Amino acid sequence: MSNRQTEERIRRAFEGAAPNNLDTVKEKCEKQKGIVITMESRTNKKGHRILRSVMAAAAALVLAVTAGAVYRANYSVASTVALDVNPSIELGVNKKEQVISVTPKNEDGAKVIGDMKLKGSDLNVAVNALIGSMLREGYISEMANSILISVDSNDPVKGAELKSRLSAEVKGMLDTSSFSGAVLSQTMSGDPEVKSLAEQYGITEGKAQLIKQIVENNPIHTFDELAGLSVNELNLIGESGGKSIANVTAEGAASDSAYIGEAKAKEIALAHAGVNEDDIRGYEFEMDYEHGTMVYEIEFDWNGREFEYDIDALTGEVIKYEGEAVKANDNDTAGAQKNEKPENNGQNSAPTDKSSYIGEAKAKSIALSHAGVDTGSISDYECELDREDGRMVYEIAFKCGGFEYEYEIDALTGSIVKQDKELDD
Amino acid sequence: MLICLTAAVEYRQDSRKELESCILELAKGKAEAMEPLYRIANPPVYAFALSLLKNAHDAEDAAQDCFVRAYFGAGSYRPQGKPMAWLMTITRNLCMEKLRERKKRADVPEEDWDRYIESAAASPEDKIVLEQCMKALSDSERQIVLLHAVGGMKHRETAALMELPLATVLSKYSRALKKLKAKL
Repeated sequence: MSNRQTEERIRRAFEGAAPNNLDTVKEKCEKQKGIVITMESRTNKKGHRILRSVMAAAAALVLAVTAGAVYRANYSVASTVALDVNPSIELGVNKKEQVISVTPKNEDGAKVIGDMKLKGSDLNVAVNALIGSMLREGYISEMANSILISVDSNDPVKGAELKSRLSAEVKGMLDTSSFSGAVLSQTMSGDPEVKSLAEQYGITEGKAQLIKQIVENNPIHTFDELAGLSVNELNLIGESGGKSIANVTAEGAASDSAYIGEAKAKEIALAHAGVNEDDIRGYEFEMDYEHGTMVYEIEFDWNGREFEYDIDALTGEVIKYEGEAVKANDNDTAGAQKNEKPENNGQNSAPTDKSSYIGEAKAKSIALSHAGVDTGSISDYECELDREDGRMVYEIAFKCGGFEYEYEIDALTGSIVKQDKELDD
Repeated sequence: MLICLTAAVEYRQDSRKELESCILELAKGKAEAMEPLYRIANPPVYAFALSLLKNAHDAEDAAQDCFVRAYFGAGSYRPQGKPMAWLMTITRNLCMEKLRERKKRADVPEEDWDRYIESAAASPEDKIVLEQCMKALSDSERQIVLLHAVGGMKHRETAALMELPLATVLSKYSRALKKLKAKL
């Protein structure tokens, strides 16, 4: 039995064995649709700008206001306001918006509160004092200007009103300093899952709700991976791709001065690829959290080829790239790159006979000579014949000198279709 | 044989395109795209979830949730010709969540391969294949084989998904296939 036949048998067996739950899936979608909160962002079209701005603030200030059952206006908690920067602080306020409890949610939060006596004061006075302290302590700065305000109130109308009022006030406070702030605000939905996630990860419910929504927006992310990030970084990632986070209102742009900036990252990627800015198409960029750090993901097409880069947002280092570097070794085998024809050429000449392929040995030597290594120094060599973008290619992988190389060599022409070199971890 | 090979590869190529267009349709709010998406992707999603969770009931849950997440997250999908890799990433994330929950509750259900195989709607011949995939392979071998054979994923996509070097994926794959061929 050939590999293909074996694969085919496996495929058939599992295809038949999967339970069909399409109706349940549809039901779940409908149900969830009903409780999805509508988008509420003033900056829809400026997604990237918001994103950058939000991301820059390394601290999340969560001001949680919880509204409970009110039996006495002065002593019962009507709302909770959480401020998240990095310090996280929760304030319980009564119906008259006087502070009745102040709870630091982490060490930094305790530091910000210090020996301030905030109980009994008006909410806006307390918030003012806390923001002032965060500015003095350097938690909010030009490099990290974001703050998340989460309001939890039993009265949704009042909660929403309080949220937008606080958001405007805080924005105003930050704007009087030498830089402008970025304020994210949300009302809490009372989702029990958010509560348990917050407990599990030791973060505020506000931050947990924000992360949960980012993960829902883009299911590639996981809660686990994002839980350790600052509100600022979260915002940047959440807004990446231009889709705003439901239920979160964003005002002002997060500072990106802690990072090298998109322009610089683009310049690094283009220089690395050895191509001109004028010649590229389909340019896209996103900030993301990968390889344990914030990165600029840069993508573009050049001459029909796709390039992808991950550039370290702090250092500008090229962490990963895919695509063919035009400037790479000019002593390339058989001038393969110059012979390369536009993409669909390979399609017309679909091979009917394997003898027209260059053969694995030849493909291997093309890859090795392009990488500038010899066959004696490589390990974990593998080769597979596959069809990619309408043409047959040899997929070749090997390790050498602490790097992992991957090549796709056109099986007919021997040209290098794709190349990838990564640190072998 | 070569015709056969090319046909298989082309089949994968076609379903890749169809899958991608389904996701893009969903992103535009066309809920009816869920049907073809589910038809193509449910078997591999379920198989992968099963290989991670080793429990038919949990795998069923995870597979359902994967499509729910795909439905709401379709807007974040970027068409790069890797729709299955996207779905499998979602599946993996969901399964990891489930595994963490289990750990927290110290509730580790036994591997119920036998029950699964018994209850599967499969011919006796197919049941042998299922059984060997479950029992003869190591966890990572099983995942790699199912991603490729059922999901049509390229080895490089599997490598990225499982955070393994491509060379490791390739060698595990060929080892696994050898084992299966000997058993089947």
